[in-house]
Amino acid sequence: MTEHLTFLKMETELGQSQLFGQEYEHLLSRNLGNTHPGLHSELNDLFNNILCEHVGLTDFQKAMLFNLLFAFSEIREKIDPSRLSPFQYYTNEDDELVFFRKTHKGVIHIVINPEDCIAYSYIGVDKKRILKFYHNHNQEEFEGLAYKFFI
Amino acid sequence: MPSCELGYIPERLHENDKPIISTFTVGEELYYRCKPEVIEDPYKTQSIAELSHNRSGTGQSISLPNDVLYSIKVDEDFETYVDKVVCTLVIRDLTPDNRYDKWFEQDKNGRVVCANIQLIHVPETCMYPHCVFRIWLDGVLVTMDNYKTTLGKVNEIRNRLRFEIASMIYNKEVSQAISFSDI
Repeated sequence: MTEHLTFLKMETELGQSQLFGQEYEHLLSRNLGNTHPGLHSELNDLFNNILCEHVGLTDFQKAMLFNLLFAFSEIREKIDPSRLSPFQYYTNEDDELVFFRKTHKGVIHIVINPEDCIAYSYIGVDKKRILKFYHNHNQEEFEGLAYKFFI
Repeated sequence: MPSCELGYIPERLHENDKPIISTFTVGEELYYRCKPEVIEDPYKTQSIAELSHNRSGTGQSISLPNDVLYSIKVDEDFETYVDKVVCTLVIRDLTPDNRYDKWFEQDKNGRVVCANIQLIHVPETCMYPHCVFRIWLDGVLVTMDNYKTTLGKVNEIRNRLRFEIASMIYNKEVSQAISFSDI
């Protein structure tokens, strides 16, 4: 996990080099391959798919996405794995990466903004409404977010 | 005042000389035209700026739910939106002066940014019941043209506004009083 985040940071910094950015990006993306340490294979595939389908994601969104999927990967060993399947993701016209899950109690969203923060929202059929922002981006926070999303 | 030149729009919906009704009524309905998937996932609304609805009126009916499916754009070569559905919202409560007028704040780099969302009756020549949820950011009206440089720059407030609108659509009601918790 830490190694991967370090890699993402290095990839980002080197990729921003005005002179050699493209070369670094090419080299690093080749070396990154398709594996992401710590992610369960299904979630590893999902991570790759999302990056391929949404090429405009910011570095912040990529890092937060990895953290989120890592948390999904961790909790899949603790809860019913079938709970991990029924969700959707998409980007909207505000360039937010949105995860959506519907339950019989209501709708749940995780919004990864292009920068700054992540938002968790729940709208219940009973009209209960929860909106919470996450700014710290530590692993405990993501694990809590993952539990909220699936339970 | 220009008159409606779209022959398929019923006369009862034409603006003509009818007045703007600046207040709303508890129990009044708003009709929102959207893609079917928005009912399922209310975060899929196209935009939170200039979100249009039709108002029903109370006592004397101003419009019917399906009226919102009429196209009132002269450059559209169809009469009704066949791929859209009607979402009906009921107004549950309002301000003491019978308006929907909510405020949201965000601390951004040590400065408090304020957003205000209001429901306003904005009649169109061919659609008298037309209303919009209009948003101001620090006093600047948010439009489709300045969206990226206004709401596009304040993630938390944008998230709060989208949440407010998504809640309306999902719960099918407009409420001045209902807020949300963060736990």
